Amino acid sequence: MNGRRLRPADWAALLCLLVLGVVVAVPQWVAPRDPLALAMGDRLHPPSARYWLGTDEGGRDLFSRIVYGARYSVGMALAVVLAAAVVGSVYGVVAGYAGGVVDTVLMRVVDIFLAFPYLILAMAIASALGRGAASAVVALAVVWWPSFARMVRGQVLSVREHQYVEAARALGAPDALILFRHILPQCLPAVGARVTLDLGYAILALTGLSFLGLGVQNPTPEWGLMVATSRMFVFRAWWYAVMPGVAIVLTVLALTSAGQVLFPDPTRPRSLRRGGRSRRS
Amino acid sequence: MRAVVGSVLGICAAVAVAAVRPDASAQPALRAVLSNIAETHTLDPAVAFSSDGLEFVRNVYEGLLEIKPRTVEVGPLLATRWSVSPDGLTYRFTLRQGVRFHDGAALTAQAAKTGLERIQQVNQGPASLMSNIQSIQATGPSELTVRLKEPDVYFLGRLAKLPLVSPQALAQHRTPADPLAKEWFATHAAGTGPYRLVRWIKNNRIELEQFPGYWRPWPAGAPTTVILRVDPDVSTALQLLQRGEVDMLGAVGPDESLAAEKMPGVKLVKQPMLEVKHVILNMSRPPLNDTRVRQAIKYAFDYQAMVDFFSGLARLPEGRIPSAVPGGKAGLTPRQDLARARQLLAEAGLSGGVELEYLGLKGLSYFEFAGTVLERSLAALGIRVTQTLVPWPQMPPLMAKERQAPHMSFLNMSMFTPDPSDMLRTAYHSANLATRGGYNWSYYQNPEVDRLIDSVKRLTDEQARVETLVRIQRILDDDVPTLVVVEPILAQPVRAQWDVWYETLDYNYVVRFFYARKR
Amino acid sequence: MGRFLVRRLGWFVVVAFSIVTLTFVISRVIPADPARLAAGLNAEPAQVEEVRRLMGLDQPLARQYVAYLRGLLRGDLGRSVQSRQPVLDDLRMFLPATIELVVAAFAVYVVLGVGLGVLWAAWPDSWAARAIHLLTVGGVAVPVFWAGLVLQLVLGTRLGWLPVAGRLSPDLAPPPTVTGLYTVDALLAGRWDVWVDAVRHLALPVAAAVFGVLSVATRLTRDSVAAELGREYVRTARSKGVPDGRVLVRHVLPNAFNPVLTMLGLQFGWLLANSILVEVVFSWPGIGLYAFTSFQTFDYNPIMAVTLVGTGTFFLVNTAVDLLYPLLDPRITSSHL
Repeated sequence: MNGRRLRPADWAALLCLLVLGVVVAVPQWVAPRDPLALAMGDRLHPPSARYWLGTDEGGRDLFSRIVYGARYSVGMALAVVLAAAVVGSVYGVVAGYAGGVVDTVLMRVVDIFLAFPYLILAMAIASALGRGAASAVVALAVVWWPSFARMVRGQVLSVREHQYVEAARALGAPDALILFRHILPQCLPAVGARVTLDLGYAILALTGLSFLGLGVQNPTPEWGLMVATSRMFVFRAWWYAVMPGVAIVLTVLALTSAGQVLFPDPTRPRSLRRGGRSRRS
Repeated sequence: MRAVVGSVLGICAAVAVAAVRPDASAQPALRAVLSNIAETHTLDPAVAFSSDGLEFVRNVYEGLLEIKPRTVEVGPLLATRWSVSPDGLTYRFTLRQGVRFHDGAALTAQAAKTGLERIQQVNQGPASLMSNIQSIQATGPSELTVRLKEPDVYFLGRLAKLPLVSPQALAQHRTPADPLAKEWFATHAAGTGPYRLVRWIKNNRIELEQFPGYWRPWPAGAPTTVILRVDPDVSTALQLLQRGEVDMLGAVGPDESLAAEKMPGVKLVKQPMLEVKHVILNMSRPPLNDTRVRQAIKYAFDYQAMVDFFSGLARLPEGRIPSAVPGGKAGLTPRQDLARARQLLAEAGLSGGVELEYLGLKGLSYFEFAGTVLERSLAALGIRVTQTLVPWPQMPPLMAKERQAPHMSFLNMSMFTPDPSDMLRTAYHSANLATRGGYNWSYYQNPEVDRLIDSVKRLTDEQARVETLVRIQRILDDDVPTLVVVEPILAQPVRAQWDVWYETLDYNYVVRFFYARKR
Repeated sequence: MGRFLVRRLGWFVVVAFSIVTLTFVISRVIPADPARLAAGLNAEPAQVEEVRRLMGLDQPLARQYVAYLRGLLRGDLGRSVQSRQPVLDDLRMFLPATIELVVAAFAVYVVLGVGLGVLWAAWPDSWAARAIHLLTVGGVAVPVFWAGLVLQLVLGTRLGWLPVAGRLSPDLAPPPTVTGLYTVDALLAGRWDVWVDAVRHLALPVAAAVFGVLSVATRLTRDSVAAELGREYVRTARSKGVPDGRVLVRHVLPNAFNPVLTMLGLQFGWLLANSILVEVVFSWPGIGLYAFTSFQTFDYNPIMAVTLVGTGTFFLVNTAVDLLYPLLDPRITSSHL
C-alpha cells in the first residue's frame, strides 16, 4: 500500500470489510437464528439480550435477518458492479482502441445512457423484467455500465500511445492480442478501484430499488425491503425501521473507506486524501 | 378551457358573495378528514365499486333505500314506502316529496328511473346488482315500479346500493359520443346526498361540503365539511392522525390500529367485520388440480400464526360466511394437522420438490404476512413457495390468465349486500371465473354449487336459506378451492371526539358523515 | 454561443428520440394489460376489447410507436389510464410540486455544501472541520429513503416539530395558482401563514434529499479551495498582509468555483432522480410519486412523459452550467464548448 501507514480508522474499515466478507460467505456462523422461522409469540419484540436487535412482525430475529440479508444486499450489488465493469470495460476498450467514427458513435450511445434519469430507467427495466433479484441486478447494471465504459476508454486512450503498444503494433501483432495482452491489463487497476468504490453506491441504489418494491420479494431478508416493510410497523417498533438502515450505512461506510485505503486516488494529494489534516501553509 | 374559466369565475363569485354577506345563522364549519390508502379513479356512482370510490358516493349520492345507520338492515331513504306483489316479482315504491339534486333538479319517478337505468347502461360493477331486474317504470309522478325476473328476498338490500344521479346533469353533459355522460360524472357529481363536491385535487384529496338544499334537517355535531384524503403510505397516515390533521383512517392493518390506540386523543372503533380472508388455490394449474394436494395445503396452513398476527383483532373463521351473518358459524373451523397433510400429499404422489407461486398485495401488512405464513407452512411439506407482491391493480389481470396465473393468491371476501350467497357467488360461481373478470380466482367450477348458490335468494324461509348456505360451505370445505384463514374484527383508529360507524357492507372503510357526530 | 446552442439542441433531439424509443420498447414489454385496468375490474371481455381499441393497443407495435411520435410532435403526451385525463394536465398538476421540492433542495444544497466546504478548507483544524468531515463521511452512506424515514420518526413524530407529509396542512387552502409553487404563490397572495406552513412542509423532504448528496459538494469545494489556498499567489498576498477573509473571497473562491459548478450541474440530476424516493416517503404529490404510481399500474403514457421531463430538465441544467462557465472564468470562451 505504497508503504503508507494506516490510521486506526483505516484499520476499522478493513476490519469491517473482513466481517462483511465472513457474513456474506457463511452467515450461518454468525446468525444465532433461522432468518425465516416464525415465532408469533415474540412478534415485534424490542431489542433485548435474547434478540439483540429486536424482532419483526413474524417474531423473526432482526439480527439474523440482517446477517443473512447481507447476502442479498451486498451480493446483488457486487453482481451489478461486476457486470457493469465487464461490459463497460470491453465496450470502453473497443471504443478507445478503435478510435475515429466508431469511437464517436459508441461514446454517443454512452452519453445517451448517462442522460437518462438513472432511477427511472432502472425502474422501467426492473418492471419490464418482472420482480425478482435478477431483474433488479440487470436493471442497475444497465444503468451502471456507461460510466465504466467512459472511464476505461479514457484509460485506453492514454495507454494506446505508449511505446510498447506502438512496438507491438509495429511487430504486426493482431489487434485482439494487443487489446487483451497489453491494453486491458493496464486498465485493470483503475477498474478494480472503481469496483470497490462503486460497490457502496450500488448497495444504496439496490436497496432503494427494493424499497420501491422492485427487487427481491418478501420474505427474503433484504435490507431495503426490510426498511420498506418496517414502515407498516414503525409506530410499534422503531427498531425494525432503524436496524436495517444502520446495517446499510455501516456497510456502505466500510466499503467506501476500505476502497480509499486499498485504491487511493492518485490524483488527489495525500494531504487531501486524509480528512481535515492538511496544513495551512 | 371555457369550463375552467367558468368554474374559476364561479368560485371567485362564490367567494365574493360569501365575503360580503356574512351569514348570521351559519354554524362554524365542522370539518372531518378521512384518510384512505387508495384513491378512486372515478366519482361516477355507476362505476365506483370499491371502498375508495364508495367513500365518496355514499356521502354525495343516495338511493331509494339505505342500509340503516349502524345496522345491516334496509330502511327507507328516497323512497318512503313500498309494497311487494304476492309473487314477489313486482315492487312499487313511493318517492319522498321535496327532494332536490345538487343541481336543483327535483326527484321524480322519472328521475329515479333514469338514474337506475343509467347504471344498467353503463354496465360496470354496480350493474351486477341489477341483473335480476326485468323493467323499471314510472307509474306515477312519485311512484316507481320495478319488475324482477325471479323472486329475490334480498332485492331491497341490493336496491339500497344503487345511487341516483341528477337527470338534469345527465341531459346537460351527455354528448353523442358519450350518451351516458360518463366523462362528466367521472370527475363531477350531482346527487341528492347531504354533501356536494367542492373540488377534487387528484392524488391528494376530495373536498365535500354540506349541501344547503338537503332534504333532512342538519343534525348538530355532523360535519359540514368533509375531506377525503389519499395517503398511499399507511405510516404517513398514522402520523397525520397522531398530529390531529386526520380524524379517521381507511384501510389499515391490525398493528397500525394497535399502535394508533396508544396515541393520545385516538380511540379504536371496533365493529364486527363481515369479511373472511381467503387464500386462493388456482385449480387450473397442476398440482393444485388434485383435490388431495389442496387438502394437504389446507391441513398444513398455520392458521394460529395468522390469527396471532392480528394481535387479538381476529378470530379463526368458522366457514366461508362471516360468523355474524345467518349461515355463518357453519362449524367448519380450519385446523392445522401436518401428519394428515403429509399423508394426503403422499397419496397424491407428491414428495416435495414442488414449487408454487404466491401472488400477494403489496402495502398492507396482513396481505404480505399471509405469504410469509404460506411459505413457512408449506416448507414443512417440502413445498417451496415463491412470492410476488404487487399493487392491487395488477392482481386481477395476473389472476385472469387461466393456467398461467400464479398457483396461490389472497383475497378479502366481504359482504356487500345483506345476501350472504353473494359472497359465495363472487368467489365460487362459474359465472365469475377470473377469465370473465370475476373473483373466482380458483377457477372452481361445480354445477351443483352454482345451482345451490342461485337457489338461495329464491328461498323465502330463513331456515332453508341457512341450511343451503351451510351445505354449500361443506362442499367447498371438501373441495378446497380456497382456504379460509382468518376472520378479522374491524378496529379503526379515530380521533377520540368523533363518534363514527364504518360501513361494513361497503367494504369496511366508508363512513357516512351525515351520521357521524363530533362531541 | 449561438452555434453552441444549436448543436446542443440538436443533440438533445437525438437523446430525446433515443430515450422515447427505449422507454417505449421497455414499457411495451411489461407483462400487464392496461386496457383491462382501464376498463375496470368488473368489465366484460367485450368492454375490455373496446377499451383496448380506443387506446390503440390493438394496433401493431410499430404503428403504436409512430402514433406516439406523431402525438409527441403535436405536444400530445397521450392520456393516463389512472387519472383518465391527458398526461399534460397531470404534469401541470404534479410538476410544480416537484420543482418546488427540487429547487428548494438544490438551493439548500448549494448554500450548505459550498459553505461547509469553504469553512472546512479555511479552518481545517477546527472542531467545525472535524464535524463537517464526519458529516461528509457519514452522509454518502445514508440511503435517501431511510434518512427520510428517520427524520419523520424523530423530528415529525417523536418531537412533533415538523409535518411529515404533503405540501400543506389540511385546514389551509392552497394559495391561488400562479406558478404552482406554494411558497411563491403564498407570497404573491400575501399569505404569510400559508407561506410558513408550506416551508414547514418542505423542511423534512428537503433535508432528506440534501443529506445524502451534501458531502459531494462539501468535499469538492474543500478540495478545490484548499488547492487554491496552497498556491503561490495566496502566500504572496498573505505575506503582503492582505487579510485572510479578503484573500478567500476575492481570489480563492472565484478560482475554486469552476469544478464545483460542473459538479453541481450533475448533482442536480441526482436530486431529481432521488426525488422519487423522497416523494414516496413523504407522500409529496409531485412527478416522482406520479412516476411511482404509474409504474405500479403500468400506465405507459405517464411513464414516457416523466422520463422525458426528467431527461429534459437534466439536459437543460447542464447546458445552463456550460453557459455559465465563460461568465465565471474569462479564460474559457464559448468557442471552447
